[in-house]
Amino acid sequence: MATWRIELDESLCSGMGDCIRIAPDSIELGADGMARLLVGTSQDPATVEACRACPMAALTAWRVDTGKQVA
Amino acid sequence: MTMFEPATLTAAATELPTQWLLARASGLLAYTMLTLTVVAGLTLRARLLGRVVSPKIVTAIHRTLSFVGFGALALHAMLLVLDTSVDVPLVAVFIPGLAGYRTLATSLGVVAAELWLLIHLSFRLRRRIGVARWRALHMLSFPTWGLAALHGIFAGSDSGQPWVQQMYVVSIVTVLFLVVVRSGSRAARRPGRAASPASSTRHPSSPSAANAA
Repeated sequence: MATWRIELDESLCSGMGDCIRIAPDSIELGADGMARLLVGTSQDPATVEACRACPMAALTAWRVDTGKQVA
Repeated sequence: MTMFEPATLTAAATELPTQWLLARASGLLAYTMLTLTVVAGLTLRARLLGRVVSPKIVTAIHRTLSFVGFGALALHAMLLVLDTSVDVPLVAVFIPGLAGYRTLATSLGVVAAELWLLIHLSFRLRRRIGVARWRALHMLSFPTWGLAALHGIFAGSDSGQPWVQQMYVVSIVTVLFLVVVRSGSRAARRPGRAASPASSTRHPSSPSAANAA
């Protein structure tokens, strides 16, 4: 099973919340309304989908084994 | 005085000088760009394109349209000041109520332009003012677009043209339709899905990770 490293660029996040609807186990909204990562890596494809869904490109996902960016 | 005074064009306007033509064209272009900006924003938030177009691309289009539109708006204001067809002094493009040409309708355009600039620039300030305030400010996009439409319809000297009227009808119907769709998608939104069975490693910097550790 693939493992992805998840990264959040806080300077881009605008608190749209699309990510937490897709992957609430991996990402949450903080008290300031901005996204906050709950995980550093994930094997959940939904987390990658959440990265793809971020309209601000604040979330990125990278395959740990290949180092390739997938979202 | 009526709410929207009749056009008071000078003789220069009837000679169709280049500046006057460009001022009208840039005004129509700015309104079109603003409408497309709003349409892109609503399309993004209503998730109408699903997986067809990446949300990142729609966001980039949304911001680019706003930027280009504001350029057209700046050109529109500058040309109206330079042109002698209508009475629009420099101060009148910054302060509502000072234009001699269709004063009220022109004022609506000035207010819309200032709101547009405020909304556009607020993106870079969203972390400083707080995301909740920024989102509330962004909701001003709708009255801003409405004021721009009223300005165009009542101040535009081309509003009597059938193709211009059709453009306003199509733009207004499109935005109102998307507002309804957007409202529907928000109402239908469900809370997040159940916990995933897939494994994850807790992020070391998150409070939840700290609690879990």
